[in-house]
Amino acid sequence: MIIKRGLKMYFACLVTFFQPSLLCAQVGGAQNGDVILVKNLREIYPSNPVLVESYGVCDSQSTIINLPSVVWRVPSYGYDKMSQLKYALGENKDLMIYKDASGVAVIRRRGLASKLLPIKIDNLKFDENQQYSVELAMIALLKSAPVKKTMSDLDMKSMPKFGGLISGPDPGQPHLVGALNGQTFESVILSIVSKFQGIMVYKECSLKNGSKRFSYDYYYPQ
Amino acid sequence: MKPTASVDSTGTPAKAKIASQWDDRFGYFTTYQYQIQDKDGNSLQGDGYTAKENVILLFHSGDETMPTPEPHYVRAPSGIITDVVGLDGYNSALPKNSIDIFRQTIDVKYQGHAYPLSTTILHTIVVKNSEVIQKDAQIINP
Repeated sequence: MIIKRGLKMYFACLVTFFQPSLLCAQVGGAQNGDVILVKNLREIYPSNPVLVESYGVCDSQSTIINLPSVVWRVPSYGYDKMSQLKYALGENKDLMIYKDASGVAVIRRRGLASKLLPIKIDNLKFDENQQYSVELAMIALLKSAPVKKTMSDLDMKSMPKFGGLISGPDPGQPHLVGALNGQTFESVILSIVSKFQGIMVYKECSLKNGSKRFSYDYYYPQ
Repeated sequence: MKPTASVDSTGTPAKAKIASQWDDRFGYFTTYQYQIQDKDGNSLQGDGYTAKENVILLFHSGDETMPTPEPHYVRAPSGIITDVVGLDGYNSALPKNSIDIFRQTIDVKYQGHAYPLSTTILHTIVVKNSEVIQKDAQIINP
């Protein structure tokens, strides 16, 4: 299907990227650095939850963290979607790709030495609005005491971004439980992505003065 | 504060009004709830509504630009659209000073049909000395 939908354009998109390519259709409004990544993941691994974890380069002109180059291959037919995803990214030896126990495909750059992702978080509570919203659930995570302490210890801040429409509480629709126990920062993100599907892109970068920044951007399933 | 929608109607979505709002206690954003209405102003409180925003940046002042989320449809249960106006985050590396003004329109989807609402909303987000001092939504066209 990918090939039928425009091999020429797709190859143009799938060669390499560091900055958005003008040859690729834009995913309107999204963070520029993530556009091709998200577009390709939606093509190759549609309707499946994905967590991308990577380091990147802090952009001095914006609050975007630019991802390193990724080489994409057009996947072949006849395999399951996970195998196709692994094949598509197979040229990138620094990427680990696996399916987590929660069913989320994790794409992790090996050089990411995150001190935030593994921290332990006990008894993370979500109010009703947070249970139904990825955005508000993430804010609840950021406000938890262990995350605040780690961010302070590491001189680490999140990249600001503008808000937008979020899903309201809707009984009967997928939602998080009221509390998560014995989790890590990463496993909370996995729980969120697993519950709401979609694609989460988590990135870290370092400033010249040693301060650290991270961003998390969620792309709804289409 | 809960929205006070008054009339249940089977009309089609045509506009929206601000039903309620409250501040994030850490000061990054204000949550607004818009009630979907038909052209006569009757509140549409049924299930099955989804909404997508269209946002245009009208004005920006400041050293850094910040990203906006990818447009997407979200659930609007009981005809209530929830909007985070301001900055989505906490303990963020805020710019020193910035002003951003957005024009927002909303498309509502219901039973497979998309309805662009006539309502136009202006969002003003002002950061001063790395504090979000303004984050409000104002209807400029009903």
